Amino acid sequence: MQHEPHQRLSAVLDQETTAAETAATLDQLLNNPELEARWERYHLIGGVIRGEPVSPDYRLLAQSVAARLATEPLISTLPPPRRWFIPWFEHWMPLAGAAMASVMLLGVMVWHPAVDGLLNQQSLTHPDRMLALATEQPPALDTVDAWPLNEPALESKLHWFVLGHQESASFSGFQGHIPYATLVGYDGQ
Amino acid sequence: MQPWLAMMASDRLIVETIAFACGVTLLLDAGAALGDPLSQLERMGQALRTREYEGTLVHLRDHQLSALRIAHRIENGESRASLLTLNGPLRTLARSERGIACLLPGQQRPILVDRAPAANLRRSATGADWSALERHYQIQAKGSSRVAGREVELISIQPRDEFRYGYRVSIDDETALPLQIELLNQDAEPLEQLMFTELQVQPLVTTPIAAPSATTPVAAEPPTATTWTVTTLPPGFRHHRYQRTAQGIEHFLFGDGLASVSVYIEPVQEFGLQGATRLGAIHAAGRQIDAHQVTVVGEVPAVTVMHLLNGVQHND
Repeated sequence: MQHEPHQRLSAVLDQETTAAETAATLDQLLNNPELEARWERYHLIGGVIRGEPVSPDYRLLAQSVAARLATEPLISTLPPPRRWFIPWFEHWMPLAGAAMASVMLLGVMVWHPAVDGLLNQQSLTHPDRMLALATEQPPALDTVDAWPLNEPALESKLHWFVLGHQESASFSGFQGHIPYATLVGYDGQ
Repeated sequence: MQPWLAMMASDRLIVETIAFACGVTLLLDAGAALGDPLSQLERMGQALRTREYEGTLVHLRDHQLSALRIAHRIENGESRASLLTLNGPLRTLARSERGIACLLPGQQRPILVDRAPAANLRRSATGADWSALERHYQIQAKGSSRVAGREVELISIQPRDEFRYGYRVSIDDETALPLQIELLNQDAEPLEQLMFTELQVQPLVTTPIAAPSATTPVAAEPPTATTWTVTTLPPGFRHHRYQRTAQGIEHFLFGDGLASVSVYIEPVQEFGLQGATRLGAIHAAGRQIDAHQVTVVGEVPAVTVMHLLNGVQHND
């Protein structure tokens, strides 16, 4: 396993680590704000390049871009040919400078029209309200409380239950990445 | 009519009849190849297991939009996948045949789920039994469309009752991968939606996938090493698996072959779910019974988890 922190993260994304190594790397990520900031900058830049929606005020993108411009030189040469499963962000490193310059020049974030249209087409209105437990009558969907984000220990246990359940329930072979995307994609903010 | 004209007319009729028959046959063959929803779903299940791909997904739920990077590859016959959020707090998951490592915001450490050897016994090599599932789902082809710039076939999987969700799947014509999946309630209203915005697919792998011991989900024998039972199950749900984890947690798995629910039973802990909650379309409900914490969780409607929770009994 590589020793550079960003290479370790790359290995995790590439699935070149065992579960234990992945855990160790993720654990280091949690305890290394600089590493996490670096990791997130890659993703922000990647999102900008692809025109994906990134909230304009989230994580203060302008400051991140400015800091990166100040600390890292632009890369002017293409990387050598790599295997197929190259960490996706490494593909974009040569483009990052141009993208950042574009972002600085425009000074705005552009929401992808197709994604925006997708958002507007949905009518998912389930206001979360507190539930008084009724064990005799099942609650209606819109009366169920949201995931207990204010109780980390309980939340962690429920996450563990969900992941354990999905691993056991993979018999259908149909759902594929859906359950995991539901858990990973959920932003409780 | 002159005899030769009559002959020509007869020959023409024969030719037209044959041509019509051939045309109908070709149309029927094409329909079977592209339009048969069960065949399409079987192709999709196989593609999910055997195709290597990497791409960007958008996940829409409750007015929340997430962008995810997903990668799936086969290495030495083993399936490996990773998911990573591209917006919002860093959230990532790595899954292999050995287990899952997941990092979520607010968690002090990654969540690790080791796959017990017994779990492999239930991993399907053939996918869902769609013919059997038609008892509980109405499965229909809904025509063609385009997703991520690729031609797809739309398949609707609508539940016949309130105990399971439905799906609308857009299956790539070329690779059979699901490029868009909508999770639907009983009224066919979307609850969640996943869609590829960009996808790179590798040629089919030559390394065979490691074959599991069992190929289809079968009803398991009632466990004898437990004093717990679930007395009432939703229609079509059966007990599939029982295990006791190293932490002493008893785990029952129930399902209809597509939808599934887990029941976890453990001695009362400091932290236990009392009531019902949800994470998008994943519902969970819990309560205490005889100094034990019972938690039911699954990607099923709230009514289903409550149905099972109410059916849990402790037999002294």
